[in-house]
Amino acid sequence: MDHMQRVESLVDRVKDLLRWIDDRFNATILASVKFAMPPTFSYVFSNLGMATVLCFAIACITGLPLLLYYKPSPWDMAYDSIRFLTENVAFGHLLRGVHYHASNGMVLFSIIHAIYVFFKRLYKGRFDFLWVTGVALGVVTIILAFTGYTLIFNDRAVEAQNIMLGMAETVHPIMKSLLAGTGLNDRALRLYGFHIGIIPAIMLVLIGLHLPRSLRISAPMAIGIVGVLFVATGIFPAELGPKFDPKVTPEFMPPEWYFLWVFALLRTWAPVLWVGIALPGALVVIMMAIPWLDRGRRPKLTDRPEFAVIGVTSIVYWIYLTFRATIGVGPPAQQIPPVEVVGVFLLILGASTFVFRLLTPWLKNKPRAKKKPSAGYLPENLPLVILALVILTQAALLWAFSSAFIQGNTEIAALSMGFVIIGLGVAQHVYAVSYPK
Amino acid sequence: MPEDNPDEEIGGEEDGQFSRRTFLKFFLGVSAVLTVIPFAPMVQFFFTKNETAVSTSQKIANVNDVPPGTTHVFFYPGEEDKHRSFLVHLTEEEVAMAEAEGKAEYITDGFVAYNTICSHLQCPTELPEHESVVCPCHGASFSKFDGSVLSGPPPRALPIVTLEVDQSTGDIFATGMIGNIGTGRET
Repeated sequence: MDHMQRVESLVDRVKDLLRWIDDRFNATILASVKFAMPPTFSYVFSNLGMATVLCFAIACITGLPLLLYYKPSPWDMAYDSIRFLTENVAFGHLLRGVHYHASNGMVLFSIIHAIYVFFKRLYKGRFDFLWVTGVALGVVTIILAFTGYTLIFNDRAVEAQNIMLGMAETVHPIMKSLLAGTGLNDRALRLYGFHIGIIPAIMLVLIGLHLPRSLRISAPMAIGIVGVLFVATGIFPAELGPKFDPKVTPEFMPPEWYFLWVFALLRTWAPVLWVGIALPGALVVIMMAIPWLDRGRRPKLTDRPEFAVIGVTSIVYWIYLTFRATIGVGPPAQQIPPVEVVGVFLLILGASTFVFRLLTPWLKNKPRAKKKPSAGYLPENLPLVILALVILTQAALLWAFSSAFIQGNTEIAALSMGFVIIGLGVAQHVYAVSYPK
Repeated sequence: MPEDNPDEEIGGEEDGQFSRRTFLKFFLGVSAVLTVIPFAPMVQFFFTKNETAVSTSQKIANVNDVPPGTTHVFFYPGEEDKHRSFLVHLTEEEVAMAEAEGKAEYITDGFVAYNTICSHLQCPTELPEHESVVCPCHGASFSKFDGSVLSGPPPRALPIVTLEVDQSTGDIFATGMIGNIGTGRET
């Protein structure tokens, strides 16, 4: 028996073992999750839901080790524990950064996912229920992200806590005591409990009511997203900020990007109850009602112009408010004139109606693009060459990672680690498009 | 088309030994392994440097506070539960008894001190009674005079806290420790 045969029989045994394990896994819920390497660039928009769930999973995985260091106690203890984690614990900076960017990713991907589903009108039929749970998931996602950044107990966190509690109190004082208990220790403990236990539990239930029966996860894309989160950590590390000192007026910082639109509305000095509570609440209710408000039967956008206009107006107006909120933050903070806010809304509404009317004839006559993306396989030895290059790049990046890690340069370490992971995604994709099976 | 056949052999090896796909799979595997490598040192996240308590001279009591036949509880070298120690003021008869038994090695001016975490499975012991310090968990008992094992399962004697008595003021200082907390000392 020569050497080659021995290797082959070993490979067969490993294959048998893997098959055995696969059989056992198929008896569990894992059978409904399939990792696939599609031989095309999978249509990005159809992977957005997967991307959101993936970010949630990453946030959970990176959040659990953070529990070992965080101390939910005001003011110094919480802040100092995070500073210790960031500065003294190996990879603490990295895990916190990835955790933070996973939360950003969740919010971002869920917004784009919702926009896609809205314009594609995928909320009709029995998917109306998925749309409702999806909107609820979006709200819960934002609350989860919010409670996350209040835990840091830096200036921004405490300001966010106070604004949240102020808004809760405008609804009813009992809301404030629900969220913050009685006193600082309670507040820290409750925000922590909400963030790590209660809201994620609600989230899991909603995810169970939102995910389709079987999941196909595009492995190259999933791994690519993980890599991007690491890269983002390298470029934009999670902030620590100045420690909150109750004796000193904190330097004001605007909230996270997904709250800027409410921040802009609050700066019109309109009543808090209206723009802070009633308006966002009404928007959520209207969004949930969309499957029933949309009574049309035909799916094309040109057949339901009012929805196209509402959609475009909302997006453009949201972007306007988000950018407007960052101008004139102060101190002293300038008022955003209510006339401007209302005027711009009407302007955008008018403009998008006009543009849509203008485009309608063209959209109707537009030749339909071929739906099926053709799989373009790479010729001959090109995939081998690309994979070899990927491996060499990964090896070089690993060297960069290790030297950066030894020198304590956490940003470069995170960056190079991210690119190593992205490299695997690229390799998987190239493998998938290499030869037809 | 022979170009598109993934199993077409490359190189001049034996028939069907290495196909392009085999190579690709191998490369993909290498890429996966390279990706996993930087995650390995992340284990360090769970370990931080131990803040070792520096054993320095520390005042633990005054002679007047601990009359003969009583025990004073103190913490040395730090404030943690495992640092709990007994300062025992032996009566003259007891000192004589210890000398007769050859257990007077660590007695300083009638005082002896030892850590009180059982060297068996690290339970805190009871206060000394008669001649012994008893551990409530698994029935170990140690000598009141020098912490050596009298009976039971512990393999090692209790760590001794070395003492220094300032004769002018009567202050008692702990100056160091013989043996390791929880695992005792060589007897």
